[in-house]
Amino acid sequence: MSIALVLTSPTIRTITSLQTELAERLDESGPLQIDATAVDRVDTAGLQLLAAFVRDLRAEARTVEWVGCSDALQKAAQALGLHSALCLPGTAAPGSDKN
Amino acid sequence: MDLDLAQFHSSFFEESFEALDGMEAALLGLDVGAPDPERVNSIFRVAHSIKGGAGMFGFKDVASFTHTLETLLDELRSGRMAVTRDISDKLLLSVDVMRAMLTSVQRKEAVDMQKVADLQFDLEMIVAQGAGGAAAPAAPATAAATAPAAAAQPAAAGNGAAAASANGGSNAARWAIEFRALPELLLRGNDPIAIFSSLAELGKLTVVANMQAVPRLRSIDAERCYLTWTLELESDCARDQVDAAFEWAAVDCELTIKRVEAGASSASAAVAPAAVVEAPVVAAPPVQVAAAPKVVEAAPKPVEAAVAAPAPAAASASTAQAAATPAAAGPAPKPADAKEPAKAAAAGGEHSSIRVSIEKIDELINTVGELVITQAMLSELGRKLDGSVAEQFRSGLNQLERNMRELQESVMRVRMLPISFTFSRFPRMVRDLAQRLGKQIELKMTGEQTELDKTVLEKIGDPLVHLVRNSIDHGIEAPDVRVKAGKSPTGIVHLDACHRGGHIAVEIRDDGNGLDKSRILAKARSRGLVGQNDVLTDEQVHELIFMPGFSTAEKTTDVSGRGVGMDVVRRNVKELGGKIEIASELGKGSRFIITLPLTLAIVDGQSVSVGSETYIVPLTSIVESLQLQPQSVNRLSGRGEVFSFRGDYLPIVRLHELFGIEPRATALHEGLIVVAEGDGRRIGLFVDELLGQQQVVIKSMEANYGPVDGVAGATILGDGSVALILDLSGLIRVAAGTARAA
Repeated sequence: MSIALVLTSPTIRTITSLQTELAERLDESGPLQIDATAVDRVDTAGLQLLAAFVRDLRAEARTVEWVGCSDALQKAAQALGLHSALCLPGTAAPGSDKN
Repeated sequence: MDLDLAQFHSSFFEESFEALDGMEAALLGLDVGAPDPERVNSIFRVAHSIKGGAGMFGFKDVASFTHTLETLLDELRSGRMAVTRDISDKLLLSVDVMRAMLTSVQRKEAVDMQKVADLQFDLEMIVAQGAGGAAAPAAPATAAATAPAAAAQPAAAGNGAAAASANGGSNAARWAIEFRALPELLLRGNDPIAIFSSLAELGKLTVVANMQAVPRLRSIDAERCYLTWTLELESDCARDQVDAAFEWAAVDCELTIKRVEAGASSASAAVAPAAVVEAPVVAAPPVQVAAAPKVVEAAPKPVEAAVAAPAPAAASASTAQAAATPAAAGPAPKPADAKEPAKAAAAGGEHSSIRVSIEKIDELINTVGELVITQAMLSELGRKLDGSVAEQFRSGLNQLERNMRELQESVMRVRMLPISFTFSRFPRMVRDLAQRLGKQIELKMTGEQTELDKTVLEKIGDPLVHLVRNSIDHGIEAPDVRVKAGKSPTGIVHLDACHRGGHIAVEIRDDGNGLDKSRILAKARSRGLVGQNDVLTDEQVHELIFMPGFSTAEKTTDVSGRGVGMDVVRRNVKELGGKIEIASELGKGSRFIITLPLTLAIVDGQSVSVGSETYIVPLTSIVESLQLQPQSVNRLSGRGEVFSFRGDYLPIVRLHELFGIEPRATALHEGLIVVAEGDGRRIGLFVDELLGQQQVVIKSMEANYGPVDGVAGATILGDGSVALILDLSGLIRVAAGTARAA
């Protein structure tokens, strides 16, 4: 069972180290858990990276499970229409998820 | 925030003026019958980019005007309205108005709003009228709905209510928004989260993100934004409220905002891609998306389906640029789209260059100049050394000298710009002037890539303008006169530039009537400039037109013919170290040839010695050097010493007296006379002897000491001593003053 990926503030400020960390996670195999309960700050750069990450994971047929997701992250993801791209749990914005 | 932004103002102005030049050139080249879509698009982009920048800096008047302009241009580029001659003229006027506005804003002066308001009103009327009739392949409901709505919305006024009622909207109207971030968006501190959140406050917002352009995680440049969004806002708000949400990001994105008729098929609101704001690499093909939100997942397939579905409807409303083959849906649009942005980028003038301030370049040139002097001194010392090591040293110095020369040439070239910068003003000028004078003129320009020094370039503009005006006004005849003379009714004015042996030759040629020598002679005689019985060569007759106050024009137009022109032209050319010559044939045409040095920082000079001092006389000023016989000198009261030269009496200027130096010889026949000219007058400079001819680097008098009449600058010779470079015009003035006092 792999260790959950813990996110704190995925923003443009820490984007480079976040990218490194995510890239390392891509090298692993098996399902991945992401813990985003502690996320207080997030921006478009962060969400973009995360969305790419989730997409690449799923392309390798790996599953993503969000074991916790802060309000901040939920709101930001919905604002950008990336809620489903991130496979976030919870109520999606109306009309944006017809999956 | 204000403090931060002000530093970007000058960049914005520079780029905007340049962009306006581009817009003007594109308009002039526009074939009204069959306008090139790429040209129209590039014109749109200019308006769009200026609008964005103006909005960002809070230049409300500029933003408002360019917004109206952009609306009209959008109609034109999408084919909903046709380009007419009237529209083309109004657009050219807009360029003038925008230039004036930007200049006023730049100088923090009041803008002449009357002109702006008048033209803006005209443009709005055109859009409003055009929306009704023009060839509109688009779904008419949408076109009719959006056009008047657009027309009624100058950014300043909130006409949302009016537009809504025009639509007969019962339900809340919807806004279909396409938002594509340009790479710098995030770096510039703009975050779509904030933008979309503020939009969401206006009504019900649906956001669909497109991740197509997002690379694989490892390849992502994490500070760039690759996402594009399609948004739909259900709201009764006014257009400018929607605009306001995007205000800060306007420059960093491609944005299209369209009002959707309540209940209209959202598929027909398919959007044409917005113009490129800056000319960056366009990563993704423009996405044609139906306003009805569909899930855009990371996997590409659903997106393609979404693209394919509205393609037929979309194609009809799309611009030529994004023209997907109307019939084909599916993958076909993508490759075509991918090509177009690349073409747009290329047409947008993508080349690798950076802006450098002129001070930095001048500093660089100065330093290189110092290096040249130091190297010359070292070479001088090297000559005095003995021994085998000295030999190697000298050979090393030779190598250094070669390197220096290369370095100097490279650095001089940095300041060189193609003459097209100056030529570019002529198409517009010729067109306006020809129209005003009722003449038909074809302007030909060749050699526009010929490069010359920036300062020379700037100063040659006015003389060229005058010469071209002359050609059109006096040279080229009226169309009927030309036809009677067996010529085509359209006269040709040809501007040409080329490098000729270390100089630039700029030529203005016309196939007009040529200079009428007999009329010139008659005029000169009537003015007493030439004796009644004097016989003049053709050359000498041509020279007459350079005399101040001379003009043979029957009546002076306000264009030229005031008679102050040609002498000023010649003086300006001379000041640049160049000369101007005329060749003309009656009935056939004239040629004015201006020869200019490649650069102003170096002068070819003749060194002369006066006592223990060395002076440099610019070679372009020297006519001849000679030794006088004692008997050839006369003394005239009121004019001092004179001598006879080619049928004229020229005054002698004793440099040793002028500069207060102890000369080697005071008797005139023991020294040399250098016949030099400045300002059209000739004098004989009395010097001890001629030293060599050499290229010298000019060092500024003003910068190092102060302006001195008669001295153009100074240079440091190989032996480390300072030599003053003479300025003949100034010297003649000084000498004349002293002579009168004597």
